[in-house]
Amino acid sequence: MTKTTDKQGRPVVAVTGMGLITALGKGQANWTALLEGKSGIKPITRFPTDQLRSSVAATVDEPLTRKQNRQYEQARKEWGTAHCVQRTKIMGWETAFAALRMAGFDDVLVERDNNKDDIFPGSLFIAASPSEFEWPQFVDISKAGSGESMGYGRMLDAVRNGEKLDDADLMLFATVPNYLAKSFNTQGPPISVCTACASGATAIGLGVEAIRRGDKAALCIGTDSTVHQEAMVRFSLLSAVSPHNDPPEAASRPFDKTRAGFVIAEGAAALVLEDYDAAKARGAEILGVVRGYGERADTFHRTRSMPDGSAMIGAMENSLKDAGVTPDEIDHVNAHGTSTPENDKMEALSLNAVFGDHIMNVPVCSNKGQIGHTLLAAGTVEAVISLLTIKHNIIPPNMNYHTPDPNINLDIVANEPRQKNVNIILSNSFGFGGQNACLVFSSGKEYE
Amino acid sequence: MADSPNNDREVWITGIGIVSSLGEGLDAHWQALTADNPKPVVDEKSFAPYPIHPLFEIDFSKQIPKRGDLRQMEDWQRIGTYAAGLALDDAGIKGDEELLAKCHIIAAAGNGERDPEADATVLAALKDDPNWREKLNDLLLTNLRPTLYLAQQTQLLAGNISIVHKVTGGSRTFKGEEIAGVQIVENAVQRIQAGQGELFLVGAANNAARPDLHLIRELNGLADRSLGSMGAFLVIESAEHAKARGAKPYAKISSVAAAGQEVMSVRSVNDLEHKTDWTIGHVNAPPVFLSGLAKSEKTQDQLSAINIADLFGHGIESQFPLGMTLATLVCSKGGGQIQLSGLGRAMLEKVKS
Repeated sequence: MTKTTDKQGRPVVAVTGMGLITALGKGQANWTALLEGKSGIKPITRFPTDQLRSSVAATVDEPLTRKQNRQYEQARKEWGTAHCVQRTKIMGWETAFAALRMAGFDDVLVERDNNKDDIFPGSLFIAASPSEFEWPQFVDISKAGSGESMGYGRMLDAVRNGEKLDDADLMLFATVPNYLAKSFNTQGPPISVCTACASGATAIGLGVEAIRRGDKAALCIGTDSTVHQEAMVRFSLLSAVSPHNDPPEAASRPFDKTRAGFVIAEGAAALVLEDYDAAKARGAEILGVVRGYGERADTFHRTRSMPDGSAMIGAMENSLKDAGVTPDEIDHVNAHGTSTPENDKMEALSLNAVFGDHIMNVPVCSNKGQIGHTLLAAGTVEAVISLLTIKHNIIPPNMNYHTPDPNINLDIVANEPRQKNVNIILSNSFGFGGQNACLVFSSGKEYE
Repeated sequence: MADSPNNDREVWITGIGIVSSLGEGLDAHWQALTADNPKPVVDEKSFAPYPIHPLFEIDFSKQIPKRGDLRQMEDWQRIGTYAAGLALDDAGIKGDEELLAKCHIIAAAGNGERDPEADATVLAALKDDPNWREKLNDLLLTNLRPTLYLAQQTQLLAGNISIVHKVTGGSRTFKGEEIAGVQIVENAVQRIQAGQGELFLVGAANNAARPDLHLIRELNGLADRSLGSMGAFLVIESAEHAKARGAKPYAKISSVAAAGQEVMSVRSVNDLEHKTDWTIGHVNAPPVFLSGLAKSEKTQDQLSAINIADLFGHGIESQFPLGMTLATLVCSKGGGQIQLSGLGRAMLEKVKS
């Protein structure tokens, strides 16, 4: 059998499994809710929101989990008050489990304390929210200290005197990736990547590169839960989040003239990537193909992009080039569309530069009006939604688009889903610190 | 550039940037390494009972000229951006827009510094109040600097390197403490070998002078290893690319690999400690110039070796990149095969001219 390769002679990267969790639910239910225009955004009840610019979030409130053990029972009970990294870990586990099951890698899913024989034939690439302190931890440690002085000296004394923290290992960045790598027996040490809000896309890009280098498969996970009090304050201070809190479902308005910030969200997604021929050989269903990945760093500013859009344009063009497609072959753009004044303006400008006159033939939607901004997971979450769009030939709506912005010249899929034969999609992800990463997906029919 | 799995290309190191407690740049580090009795520089007092290896005093503005840039960074970013600038200078690509546009950054990082004074102020105001959560938003909004978060985000060492030095190929940051420092080098080498890139800027930075980091390490039983401030970056490129632009290699990387996940259990403190104990050693006969180096008891197959952590402190993500810069230096001065071993392993060889 001749090896299936792309136009550049490289192995083709197939998607054979997907898992998805957002505030709208899991898997298929999530997709249905997206098409129905439902919103996952609601008032935050986990902590007080007084004085915060944004008091809403797209939280995952359904205490998930298939796994039955003590640790997870605890997580279920304490879901809303758990350390964010704990939720990150569990959502990552759930979506990876779903993706591996869909791909037919059931062998690696058995609970295996002793049996280490069943190995997933690839590495783990993961984008996960940062491991960091939350205030309940500071308060607990501090309480255990003594004396008048407050701060790190006191907390360090308390810890040296025996004060422990249940989730101390969640402060280490290796904990969640290692846990997931061990859970699913992926090969070698996992790579945990951060490119801010482009991280989920970069995790997939790393998997694509590994398969093109000869790996049989890759497990790519994006998972984020950053809904804690200090995070809300930080984004408030940067004026990055939406002040439109009432009604919550109208808080995130991608590309609308009245947009004023993003809505923070929890969510996760996982993809099983495989060498196309290896997937075919084991009889796996090909859900789509990752045709290309492209990135470009910006040099302009920590939170803003080059006024001429050159870095966003470069990332999109690099992904199209890598995919071996021209702009007029793109049927649809799943936009980053955060609902911040800056991102949406710059993304529209950059799309116009890349697509030229053809741009008005390319429907654009952002899912963030419904599911908010899942931050480090966004690129992975939107990759799954893009592949579902290809599968169903229906584009989910860009919700809360009511007042067109004269500076945004795009065919927005406004408020209603749109039927269209979609074979090739461009999915954009852009992050603070000049991080820009784009992915091109296709149905994979071109390789049949 | 077609990437294909069978395209094994030679990988060269063409630029080194180092800052640490022992100085700045190659000469200072070579002198420190080859001194008769190399002594670590340790500050026992400032963070007692945690001794740290403080950063050698450097003038950040030499590599980060804009005050606005310096203001929007904390020290871990300043140290890293400085070391990255040294490496770009050393490789002769600083300011060369065409080369910088195809240069990919792979940094390793965790979180940046918190503001210890702000945290202490907030904790003092919350003290003994059972309804502390009600006050927290107000206190944080008042006490956190708006730009502080920009100093804490993991990707904003790489982001600042792009902004300050105009490196615009790609920008990726790997997380995961020590192992991330190995993976950034491994990933660059794999991509070069497969034709997925030609030119990379790879490295990390650590600031030991931060109590929030001491707290994380103490909570995880990792505080008995003194932390060291350091920044270490390498310019790594394909031999073809280096030859075409007339760049001289310090060394070629013959192999690099991160250890398997079974040794990475962060719960297993002894394991981790052992594995972070990176040593540089000659695989073959002991060359004369290494004779003055600190001896480590843990070197079985190595005739003479430096224990990096003894001399520089522990740099977490930066530990392996620091080891790589030092091993490269040793290789370029002396030749032979230099092995760096710990949680990952690398082998360097002098390029035959």
